[in-house]
Amino acid sequence: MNRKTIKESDQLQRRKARFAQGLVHSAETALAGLEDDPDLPQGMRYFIDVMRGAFTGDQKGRFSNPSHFQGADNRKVIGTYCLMVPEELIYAAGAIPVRLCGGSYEASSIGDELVPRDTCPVVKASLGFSSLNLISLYQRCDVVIIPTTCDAKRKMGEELAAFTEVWMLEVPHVKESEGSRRQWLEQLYALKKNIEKLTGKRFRGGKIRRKALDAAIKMVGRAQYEARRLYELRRASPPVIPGREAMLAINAYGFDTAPEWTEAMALLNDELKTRRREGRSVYSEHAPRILLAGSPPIFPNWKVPSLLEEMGAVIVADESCMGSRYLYDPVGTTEKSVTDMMVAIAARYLMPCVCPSFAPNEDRLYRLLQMVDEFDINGIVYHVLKGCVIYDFELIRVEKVMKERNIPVLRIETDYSPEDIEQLRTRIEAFVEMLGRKKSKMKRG
Amino acid sequence: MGYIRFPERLRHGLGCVKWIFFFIALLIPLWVAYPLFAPAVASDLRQPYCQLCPGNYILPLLVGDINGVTVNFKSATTIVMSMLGLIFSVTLIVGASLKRRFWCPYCPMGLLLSWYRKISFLKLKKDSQKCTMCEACYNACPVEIEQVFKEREKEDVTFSDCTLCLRCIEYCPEDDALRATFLGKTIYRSTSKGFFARQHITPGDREKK
Repeated sequence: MNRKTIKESDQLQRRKARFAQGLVHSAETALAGLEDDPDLPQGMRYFIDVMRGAFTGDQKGRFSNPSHFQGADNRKVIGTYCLMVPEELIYAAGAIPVRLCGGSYEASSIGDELVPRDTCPVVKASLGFSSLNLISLYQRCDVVIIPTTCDAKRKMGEELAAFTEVWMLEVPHVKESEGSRRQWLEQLYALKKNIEKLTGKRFRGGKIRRKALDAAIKMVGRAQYEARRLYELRRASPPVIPGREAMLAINAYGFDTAPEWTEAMALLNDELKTRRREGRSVYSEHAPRILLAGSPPIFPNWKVPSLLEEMGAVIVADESCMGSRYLYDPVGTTEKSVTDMMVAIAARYLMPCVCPSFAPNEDRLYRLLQMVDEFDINGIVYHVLKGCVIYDFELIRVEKVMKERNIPVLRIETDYSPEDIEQLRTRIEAFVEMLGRKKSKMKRG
Repeated sequence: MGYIRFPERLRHGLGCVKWIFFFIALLIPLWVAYPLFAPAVASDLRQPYCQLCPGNYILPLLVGDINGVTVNFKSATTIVMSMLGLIFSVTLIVGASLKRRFWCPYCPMGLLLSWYRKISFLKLKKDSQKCTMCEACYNACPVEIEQVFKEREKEDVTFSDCTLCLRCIEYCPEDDALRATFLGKTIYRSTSKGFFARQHITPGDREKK
């Protein structure tokens, strides 16, 4: 990271102050929306604190305290984008991965000036954060890994290089062919070498050893196990946790270290399990069950999840790379050799991933259909962030298969700005009302 | 050290090998029994498959008998056959330590049995909608059958090389995505819980108690 002290003009200083103020404000508003829930599970407090720490500089947060990572501990921090960067390799090398995909409106309006107009807000916000270099989450990264997924992310890599060290990770887009899978494995071996070089001095031989890799796989595996437990618990009818809270808990994984997160998640799951046993629910049985699909809502952009649940629907499932998909697929090792573990890691990060940047991507339709069945879904809200062409593209197919199942789909195109919130409210209200009527009619009939 | 996996193209190319062995195992004995031409060669072939079988050369070693590990100079036919047999023995020992189920994809017995898989009692079945195509079953498969995770239409995924070892079910992380049926009755099915326990990520039921 470029730590040169640059003489900053007054204007820039003022701008930074305004940015920080705005970010704290919007993060606090989003968190207050969650904390207002009278039924908030105790286990959720931890995740709210993680978010508060990451975005408002609250001292309880892990990332607001620099000594935690670079002072006392001296561990390297590696920033990652998308979900194709194998965290197991980073943990095995003794470094810490942080998910940097941006969700802040303030940051996206700063990034607005750095990229073409039609770029998606995720990229704008990520660039905005990096260019201002204010939040410790971004400051602390020694290097940033960017997988070549969609066009915007790919080109973002080039622009980001002005602010921080960037490693591109080439993701093949046709995953069925054996050649592309072999190439992906080679990419991961190259990445492993780079990570070893970055952290090398810290351990013997400077290489990721078999035992370390195995331990890292198990560590992330435990987090995935807990994430799957939450996924299972969300299937309960009536629901035991509002979707906006469950999604935040998963989202917090990106800003936390795996063991701590796993511990907190286990507590939350135990609490929710008790709730389910007692039949205690946060929603009535008539509340329409929604699947939130499409572009990822990334904290602090909690606009769509909050609106949906404000209107009386409940998001029982989400299919986004910052939500359920983030921690769903585990690494399945067959032998305990580095080669076999690398093959298993490569498979996990490429094959089951249903990011629309892959083509053909029929798997995603199967996944959505499976979720509709598993969660007893009444309707799908398809979230499209302005400029996210690939998610919008797949809507055509999603609408087609859902029509056969008689599942209504509502497309919502928006960005991070709060301007369209009232307009969205009207549309969401109508959709939820329609689903509610349909549901009670089906119950009676 | 990990196991070797042959690239897809090589695997396809080697697909004809089992037909060659099938020919040796079934058709040459007919010629030996009814030597209509070259009777001298035919009589020395005896049971050609057994002359090539590495067991012929390796098993006697276990009791300290090393007389079998030589080229048989009785006739041109026996020289060729015993040399081939020795080559197979060495290949098999080396191959078995590099690759899982080194011999199975070429075994004529497997080819023979694969013709009956349609009426087999034991079957491997897949629920395509539940499958996430995570490739775990392919990495676990000792005979490297790719079609199991790629299949999106058929329910029956007992492919011709399948030895029904059911390792794929063991390594499948999705509930009910893969299952084994005996006479249509499910006898073993994949579970998410079982996956995490077998990967030693969570303590298994036995350890908990």
